[in-house]
Amino acid sequence: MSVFITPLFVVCVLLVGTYFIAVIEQLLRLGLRSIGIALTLPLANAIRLLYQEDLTPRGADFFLFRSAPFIALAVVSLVALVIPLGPTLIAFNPSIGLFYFIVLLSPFVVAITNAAWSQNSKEGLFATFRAAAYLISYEVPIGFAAIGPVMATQSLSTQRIVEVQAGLWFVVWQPLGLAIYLIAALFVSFRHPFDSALAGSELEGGAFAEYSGGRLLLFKIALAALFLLLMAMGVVLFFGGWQGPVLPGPLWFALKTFALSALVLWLAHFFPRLRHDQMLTLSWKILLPASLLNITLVGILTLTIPVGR
Amino acid sequence: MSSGLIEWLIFLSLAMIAIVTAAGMIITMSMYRAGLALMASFVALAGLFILLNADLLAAIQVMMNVGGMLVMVLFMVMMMMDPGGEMMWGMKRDMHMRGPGALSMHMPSGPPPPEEQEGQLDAGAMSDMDVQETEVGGHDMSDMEMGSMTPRQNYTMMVDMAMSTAQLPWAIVLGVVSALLLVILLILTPWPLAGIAPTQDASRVVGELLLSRYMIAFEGAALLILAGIAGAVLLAKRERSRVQTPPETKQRGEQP
Amino acid sequence: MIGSGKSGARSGLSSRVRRRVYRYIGIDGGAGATLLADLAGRNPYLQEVPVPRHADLLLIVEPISQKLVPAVITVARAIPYPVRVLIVGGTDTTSFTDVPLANLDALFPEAQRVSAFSCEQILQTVFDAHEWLDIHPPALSELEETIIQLPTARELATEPAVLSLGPLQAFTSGPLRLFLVCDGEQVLSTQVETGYASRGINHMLVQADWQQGLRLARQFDPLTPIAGQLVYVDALEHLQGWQPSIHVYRCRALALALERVQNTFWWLVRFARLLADSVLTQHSYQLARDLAALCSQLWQRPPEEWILPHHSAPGVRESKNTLAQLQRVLRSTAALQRYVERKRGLALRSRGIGILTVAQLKRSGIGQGPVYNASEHGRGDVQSRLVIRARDAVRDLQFAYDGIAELAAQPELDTDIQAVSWDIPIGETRTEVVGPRGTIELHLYHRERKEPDGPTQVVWKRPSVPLLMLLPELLAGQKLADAEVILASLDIAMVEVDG
Repeated sequence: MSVFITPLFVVCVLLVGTYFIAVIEQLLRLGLRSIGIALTLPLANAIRLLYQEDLTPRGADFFLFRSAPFIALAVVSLVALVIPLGPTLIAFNPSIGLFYFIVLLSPFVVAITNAAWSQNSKEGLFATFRAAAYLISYEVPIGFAAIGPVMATQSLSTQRIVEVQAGLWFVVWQPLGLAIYLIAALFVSFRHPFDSALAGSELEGGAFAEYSGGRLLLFKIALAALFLLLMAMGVVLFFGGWQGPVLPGPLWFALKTFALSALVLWLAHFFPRLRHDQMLTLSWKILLPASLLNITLVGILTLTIPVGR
Repeated sequence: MSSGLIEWLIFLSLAMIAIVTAAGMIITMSMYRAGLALMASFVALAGLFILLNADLLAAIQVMMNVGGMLVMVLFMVMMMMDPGGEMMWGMKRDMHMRGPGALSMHMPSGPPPPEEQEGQLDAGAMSDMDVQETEVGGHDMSDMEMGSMTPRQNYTMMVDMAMSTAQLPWAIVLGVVSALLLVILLILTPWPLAGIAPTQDASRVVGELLLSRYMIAFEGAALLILAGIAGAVLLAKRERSRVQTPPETKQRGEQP
Repeated sequence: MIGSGKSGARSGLSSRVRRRVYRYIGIDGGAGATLLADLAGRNPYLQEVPVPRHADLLLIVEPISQKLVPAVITVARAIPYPVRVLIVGGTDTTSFTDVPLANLDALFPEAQRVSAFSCEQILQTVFDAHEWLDIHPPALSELEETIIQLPTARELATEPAVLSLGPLQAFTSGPLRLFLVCDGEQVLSTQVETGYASRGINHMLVQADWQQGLRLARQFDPLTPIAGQLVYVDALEHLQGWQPSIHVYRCRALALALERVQNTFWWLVRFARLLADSVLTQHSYQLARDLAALCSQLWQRPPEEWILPHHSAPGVRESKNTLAQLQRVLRSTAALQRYVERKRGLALRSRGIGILTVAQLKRSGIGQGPVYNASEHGRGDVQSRLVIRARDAVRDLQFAYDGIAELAAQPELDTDIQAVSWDIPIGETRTEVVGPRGTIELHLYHRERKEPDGPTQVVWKRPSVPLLMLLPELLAGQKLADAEVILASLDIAMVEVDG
């Protein structure tokens, strides 16, 4: 029975986490005084979307338009399996957990590309190419930023990475890695300031222009869930996962994840939406050399300073 | 439910997905969907790898194929005409051909009509152009006039659009025979069973091998990739001068 | 957290969850830019979305010209069911009876109506409307095709894509249709199609009498009614040979300055929303709301009632708060100017983009206005236009502060309140006022008395028109996202352009 219980549990935790991410977003936008509105507005929005008619444009690609939200959700669910919530609370613990995580992020961009392409419009085509360019641009920085903790841990397993941080969190001596990881995470999850492929006014709605109703809701949930998972993995990699003194592991993990998400969302809103080529410049000319530098530094530190073994 | 049964069910569904999407890749009219179908087939294969406890292989499979297929699909979208299959679908609908619109056209059945004599051509001005155009695959819509083409040219065009040849029946027979042969070979071969458990930490073993025994291949591959990147950047960096600079130079010259 | 708490809190929360969230898409016929900018930040349950498919409420701000009707119908049909329509109509739209304006009541018979340009009324109608029927979108007739000129000098073998922006887009106040011929992300050439906001004001003016002419002059650019009214009244007073007293002059200049600042602030709100820069949006939105509240309480009577030929001006309302509030607004605006100058994140999207040289502007006939000042005193890019507008706002606010302080200090008003005189002699005159987008010039010709007595010929020179002419050469070679930002930075009001 655990074959069915575990995925169900994972999906439920994901939905609850997504709800809290939406709440944090609303709090940041409306200010801390409107906590009542922030708690209920995401639910009201979701219900509103469910009432809306679910349109399929006539010229849209039959399979791609309909399957794109489900691909996105499938990716998000698969990726959520390797996040360790507690000392033994992990759904799938292969020896290559982190590699599995990073690799399974790419079909999400495929879902977005499909969504943009299947609209059968010129603006959609622009969004397709932009999204695919971001796929290539983020893979290397996020991989290299995540390799820092792997080098220190000598293992790709997410559970092992958390366990090794019992003495000292990796953020203390790999801050550059954290910075690169967070920027790349914003790329992956198409968040402001990197939401050029989903840009509202600029590209007539971008990839989500023709989605409405339930499908749009699925996409929005998938996006928020992806952001949550990236922040969760950031906590696992750099902030010690579920480690913490008094409270139980899962609670620490939740607190750390939401704190990191709030921090990233708050920092992100100081920038305007970056242009497509500015994003590519950032990725290839700034993040890539920085991540190479990061690997060098972390390698030197790992070899010379015996930390956390 | 025992876990063995669940494993069987998962194996069957993944295998069916892999086969069906691979078949779909061949018979669909849309290039985008073909690329996506290939991607899906490989992801199903990766699922099969996970069933076999080969996690690293599964992850590598997904990583290379999803990114690679997506870029390939995008290049098809950039370079080819009708990457979404919509034009062909429209033609199929307009010409009342049988079969679902999304799948490739069927080969015209029956023997090819004989070559026409010179004097029997009608609308002669178009016919020479027709032959040339249909060689390329009938890109120019202006000569899809059915009335102005001879039956032979019509037949050639249909064969072209079906992206197939007249030897299709022979190919099918050969394919089925070789598939049966391979399956029989698979079943009859005594595969040796290794007594050891699958490698737990495959990435460590692969890493050590890459940096010890296969070091030269590893570094050589890195060099090749560097050459590829440099070549791609050079090819993609096109002449921007004529498009952009005239307003810029004017402005630079007259800035206060 | 949810679920905990007293039953009162629970019912409050559950009723909030069931409370209806509206996502609206606003259609601006040209007069509603400020209103829509104001509305977008008022209530979190009324959210603005950029795409019709995500919306369920259509907010139409009248007047809508006939040419814009197909676009309105297209948007209405694109919204998924259930869809509701709210029509916001200004009271001054009834003065256009000759011009073929769209009859929205015939198109959307189930729509709700709000008669004033007021956000509070809109919110009230949206949330309290009891029987609000879902509309059945009207049928769309055949659209006529537009021929696009592709650039001939193309060395690349690729096929350029023609993106059609608009006519309902967020980059200008008012509808404008832009065809951007793009090669990938780069704009090769632009084709502009105007006329979607035209109401035929010139034609109406020569047929109306002086008083109706005044109402029409207010509508000439609905975003700056005081400037329009003032330039018309100045022309009439020139013809009459009447010099307003210092007090009247000061009051009028004060009203004009405050309107300029308000326009700048609302433009800044729209621009910041376009860039998705939330810090700038919040600051400018707060400033705009504060100033709007201030201006509504400032005058004893609203400016449109006393900017009349031969009429005197009332004083400001006595309030200690006014000056303090104005001082706060002034300081915040100065802070905003510093923010725009120095913020590096904003500079990424605005520095070095869309540079216009002084020579280019002079060639197009632009010799004044914020765009010209930005090119003359700054780099001429988008950031310098932002900075110049902020600087002008600071200057205007300082002028307003000094003016209000003087007016409040002198309780003596003009004791001889003269009656408005509509007796205009024959003549011709030329007046100008400085509006938020540049100088508005009016040439008024009164050659003969006719029944009803009105101007014989009216020629307006509007600041937005030459800017629009500059667009094709300005946008060529820009990247797509930049082209949109540049267009927004020019602050073109389409009602001005179309007349």
